[in-house]
Amino acid sequence: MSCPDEGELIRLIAGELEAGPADRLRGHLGECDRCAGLLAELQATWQLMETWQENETSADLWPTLRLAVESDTRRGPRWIPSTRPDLLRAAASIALAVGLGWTAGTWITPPLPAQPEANGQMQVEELVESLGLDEFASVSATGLHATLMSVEESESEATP
Amino acid sequence: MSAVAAGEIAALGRLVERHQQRAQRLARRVTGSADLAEDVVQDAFLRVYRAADRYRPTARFTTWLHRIVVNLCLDRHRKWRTVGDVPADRPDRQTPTPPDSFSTAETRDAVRRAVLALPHRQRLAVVLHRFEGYSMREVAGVTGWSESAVESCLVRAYRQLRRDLAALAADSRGKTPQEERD
Repeated sequence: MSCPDEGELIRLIAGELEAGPADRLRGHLGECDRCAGLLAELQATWQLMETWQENETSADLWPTLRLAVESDTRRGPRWIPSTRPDLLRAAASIALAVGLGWTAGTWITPPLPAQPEANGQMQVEELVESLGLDEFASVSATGLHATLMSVEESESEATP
Repeated sequence: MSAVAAGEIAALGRLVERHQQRAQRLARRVTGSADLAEDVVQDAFLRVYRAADRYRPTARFTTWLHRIVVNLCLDRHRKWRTVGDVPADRPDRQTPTPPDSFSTAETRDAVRRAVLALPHRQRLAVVLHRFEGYSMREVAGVTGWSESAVESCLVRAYRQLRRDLAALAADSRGKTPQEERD
């Protein structure tokens, strides 16, 4: 086995190597003074670090945290990004701008001019096409246009 | 967590009680300050509460919480670096003058100074790996770095610590630093 990299030695000390690779590495360490020396230094450093024990009596965060959570809850539903008022302001501005634009558009845009003749012609053409009569005769030859126009005229005369 | 997601504040209290000690210990070692650690962990639990309904138990809760703590420590570090005042970076990298023998308190202070003098990412990796007992793969899970990045970070960190603590290590093995180098 060739000399392992330092990462392998660290894994060995930390107990992260599987049994097989760990045994192979130990076998190498028995033959290689350089690697054995490096491992001994790493182990000494590893053990020294054990002396840095942090004081276990940490502050109890719950009383302060509870107040913060309660005030957070009172502020509104959690799906609202209460910590980002800038986002809320931006969203409100966009909604207002779109609303104003739509309202102004409906007031200012003039209605389209009525085109009864063209519409009547188009309806007849669509009817002829849907019945498949366009294969046999032109639109005017079916007589449908004249019929529809006379119906519309009589309806408009009947209307006071 | 499901109770926390339902808005049950008492359930969050139980989570805080169970996890706050370890989270504060982690943050203290990373930031080097008890006050900053309290601030970071408090913020972390507040984020847990706000994100509880989005929590999916794909990882252990502890891992998730520690990821939040680590990210907040990194955020704070970036802010401090911007204003040029990184609290945990204050300790000087000074190899302690080797006396005849080191007391436990001296050893602890020297270890603390050496770890806090590491570059921030290396310090973070060492704290998670050596002090919190995470494997390299788990450190990668907490930090979001690749496992190979974690390994190279740890190799550099332990190499630096070996240099900085050489006198102490030699003393603990009954050798002088010169003998240790030879």
